[in-house]
Amino acid sequence: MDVQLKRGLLDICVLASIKNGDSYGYKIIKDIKPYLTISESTLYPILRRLEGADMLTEYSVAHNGRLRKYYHITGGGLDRIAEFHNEWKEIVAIYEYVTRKEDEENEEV
Amino acid sequence: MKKYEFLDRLRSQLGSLSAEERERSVSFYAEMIDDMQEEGKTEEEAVEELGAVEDIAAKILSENGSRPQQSDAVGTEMPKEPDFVVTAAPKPKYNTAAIILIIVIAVMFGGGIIGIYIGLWGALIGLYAAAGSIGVIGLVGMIAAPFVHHAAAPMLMQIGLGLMGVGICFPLFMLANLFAKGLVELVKLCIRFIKHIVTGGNI
Repeated sequence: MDVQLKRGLLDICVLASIKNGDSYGYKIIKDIKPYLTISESTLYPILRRLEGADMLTEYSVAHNGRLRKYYHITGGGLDRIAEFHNEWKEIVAIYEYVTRKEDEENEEV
Repeated sequence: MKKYEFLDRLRSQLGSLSAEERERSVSFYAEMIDDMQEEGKTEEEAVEELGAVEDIAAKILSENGSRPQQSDAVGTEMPKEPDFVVTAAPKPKYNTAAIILIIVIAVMFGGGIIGIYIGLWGALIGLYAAAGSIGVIGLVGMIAAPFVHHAAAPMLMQIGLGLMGVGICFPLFMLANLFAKGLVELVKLCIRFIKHIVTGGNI
């Protein structure tokens, strides 16, 4: 997949993975992996960026004698997901346009 | 590689970050290794899955807008080159021969060229003056005619000549304007031409 497109989609996937409940780094990766390839080194900058954009907050919880960081989605993060739905409609329209053009070309041949 | 070794190396690679930012990164990866071990992976497997320390550090630093520091560990992989390199805009090359030629021409014919240039502007001023004076004389002659002449024939003739003067003055003004514009364009063209032979750029 195109790098730029994937970058944008990863942000949304990370937000989606914490939408219905707070989650932690390793679990977020496991949740997203079936859909998009994501590594630990990819996730970390995304989490930092989303936190900087006030789309999520983080807090630590004691777990097995150590601290584990949990991520919680904010109103800004939820807005971003809602925005993505609208963006996706635009992408679908573009996709349909591209497919239509290809069909026209095939008919001419 | 052991967990502490991996984290130490990561920490040393992130030396350019603030202490807070650096520890935040390190604790994120420590947590990852712990979580993987909890799932049944060995410490070495978990560290291996994370990938090269240099790549991880480079990613963190590129998000922070700084460059990865050179690793002090021997025999480790060097940080990857950035995806893009900012290059300085190429400096315009000057044609030395053309510059020398222009200087020679300027020294030899400089006086003449300046003379012609001033002369052209002089001619232009003359043209404006001629247009203005013909117009003014024509107008004054026309108005004064009834007061100077008592006979009809010379009076009418003077009015006619005055009208002619006023009539000529307008196209003469336009001609002078055209001449002025042409002169300005000529100067611009000369400057562009000199620039062109000096830098070799487009005219």
